[in-house]
Amino acid sequence: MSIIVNLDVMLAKRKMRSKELAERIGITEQNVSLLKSGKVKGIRFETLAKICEVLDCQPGDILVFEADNPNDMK
Amino acid sequence: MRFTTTRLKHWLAPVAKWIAVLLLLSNALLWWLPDGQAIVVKNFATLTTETIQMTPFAVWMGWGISTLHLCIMACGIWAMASVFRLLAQGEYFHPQVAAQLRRFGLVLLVVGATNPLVRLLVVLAVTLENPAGHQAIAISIVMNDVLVVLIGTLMVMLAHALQEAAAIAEDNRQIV
Repeated sequence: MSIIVNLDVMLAKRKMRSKELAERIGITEQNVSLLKSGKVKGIRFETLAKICEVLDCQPGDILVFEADNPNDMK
Repeated sequence: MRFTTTRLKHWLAPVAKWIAVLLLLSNALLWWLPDGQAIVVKNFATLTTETIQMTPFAVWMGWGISTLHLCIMACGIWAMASVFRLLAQGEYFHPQVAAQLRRFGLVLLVVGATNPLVRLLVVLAVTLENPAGHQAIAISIVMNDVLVVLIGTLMVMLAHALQEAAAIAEDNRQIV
């Protein structure tokens, strides 16, 4: 079971760079990069809310649950 | 006065190291200078009624035993200096803080627990060259030894708690 982060897809749709997003939501560019690659242990609601506000999207557009075994979905 | 905003924090580590050095130096002066030897005799005269002779053998043995013991303490103080240095840098949850604090605690534990043994050996050393039947061993446990052991134990447990805190801090760092 894993959570897939589609932040890079959303950034591409909104034609925004990581650096700009980092500046607008108030976290470092490094953290945005880690978030995009899914190498973080979690995300604060506050950060998620700011991302959704800046990218005009819903949390589900950025975070997707993907089961390792399709049978797990049942 | 906040610890993080004073200049004092930058001096604690070097001062601690100097104290460790002075500890060993003063012990050497105590055993090798006549005035120091008088203090040693006066100090250990409370533990035995036998004559205390500061013969070269007694001085070498006494100084050797006490220096060995103080070296352990110096290692602990050096570990304490590492903690001071890290805290001065603002690294409150660095893994080394817990590790060095644990080391300091263990040293206190060992030093406190072996103090009676060291006193016993030193009294034996300074009375060993007395005429036959006039050597002495003195078994003494003072409250300071108990306190040092307790404080050492507390430091070890605090180090464990700090280690857990460092793990939590590391987890938090990975939450954006």
